[in-house]
Amino acid sequence: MIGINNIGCHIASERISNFEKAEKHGVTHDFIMEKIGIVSVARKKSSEKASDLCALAYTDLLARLKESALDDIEFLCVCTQNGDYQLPQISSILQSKLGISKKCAAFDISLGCSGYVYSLHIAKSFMESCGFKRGLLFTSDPYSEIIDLNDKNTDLLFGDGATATMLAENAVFDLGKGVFETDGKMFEHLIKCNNKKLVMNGRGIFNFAMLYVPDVVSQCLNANALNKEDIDLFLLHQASKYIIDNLCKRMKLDMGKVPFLIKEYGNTVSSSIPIVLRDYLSKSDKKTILICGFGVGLSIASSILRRR
Amino acid sequence: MPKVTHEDVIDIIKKTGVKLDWKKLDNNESLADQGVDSLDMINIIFAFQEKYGIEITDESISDGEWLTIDKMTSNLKKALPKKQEN
Repeated sequence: MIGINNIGCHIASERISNFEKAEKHGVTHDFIMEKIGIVSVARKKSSEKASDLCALAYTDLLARLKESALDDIEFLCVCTQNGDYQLPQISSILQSKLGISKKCAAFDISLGCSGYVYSLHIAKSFMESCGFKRGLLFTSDPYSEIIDLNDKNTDLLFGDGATATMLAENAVFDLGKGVFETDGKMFEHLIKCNNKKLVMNGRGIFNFAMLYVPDVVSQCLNANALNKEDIDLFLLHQASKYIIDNLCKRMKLDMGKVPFLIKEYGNTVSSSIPIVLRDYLSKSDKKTILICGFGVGLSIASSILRRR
Repeated sequence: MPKVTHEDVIDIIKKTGVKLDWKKLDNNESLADQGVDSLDMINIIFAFQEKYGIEITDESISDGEWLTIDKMTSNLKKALPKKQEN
């Protein structure tokens, strides 16, 4: 059975202080600390593209695997909505850039913050149906390319990062049953129209999160025959401190079980869950983890990770 | 006219966890001017929607119809019969 074997990540090294932008955006330092919960956002170099961030995450993955190259990868997919080009898919660019075998299935998945959970399920099903042994799932959505620097809703929130998840039979985590929902009526709440910048209706996203996350999390627990108490970690999409705090309150979760770890680099879209998950791979006391991504679409996905 | 009082509105706001100086609360002054930030306002409006099962539009918010306790109470009173008709 295919599961998560390891995760590499790259968070862009330049940091832009949100405190230095507080006056420009008309917000207080307290608002940045207590509500957004992000003191600086990670910014990639302007010359770097999504595939470059993936390549750096892959380098981190190789270091964690203690391997210099992977010559047996049969599957490669990238979850992004900000690829290097409108076409082709960046998975092809990445296959070449990383020196992965040509005998490799490669495609992109177009999803935002729910993308990692979706992509895990797609990758697992695809690999198992084809009998593949090792595959790579990347997330990379550099929003700095589409943010309006005068828009406080997004400029103070999003950071650039990428992840590379090794999927293999010898896994650390197995994937449980997933629950997926979509509310396309709300698509305009997070949208980038052609030749324009990203626009986010913060109220729409907040309402979506409060209405959908508790219900989908509950459905996911039921689908996997689990109770809240069985979960060692609720790894929710790292949207903002305010959303995480209010979801904790609404679902009556122990805040100690709900990490919010993006203070120094920001919301990295589909990379937010795997970046945090990477740090829990070696923490053997976290046996059962619920993951839940929600955003662009508007779309939500939740699943369970069980430690082998 | 359905019964929605200032007390009902204040009770809902308190439950959101919004920090306000409740002793000095002025029902006619904008909550923003009394220290409520934009995210807390979103939370308060969401709480009204959920409590009364009504839809509050972005337009009515940007038109300033939900700025004060007075306006909130009056708009909730108006919104409830419409909901009952539907």
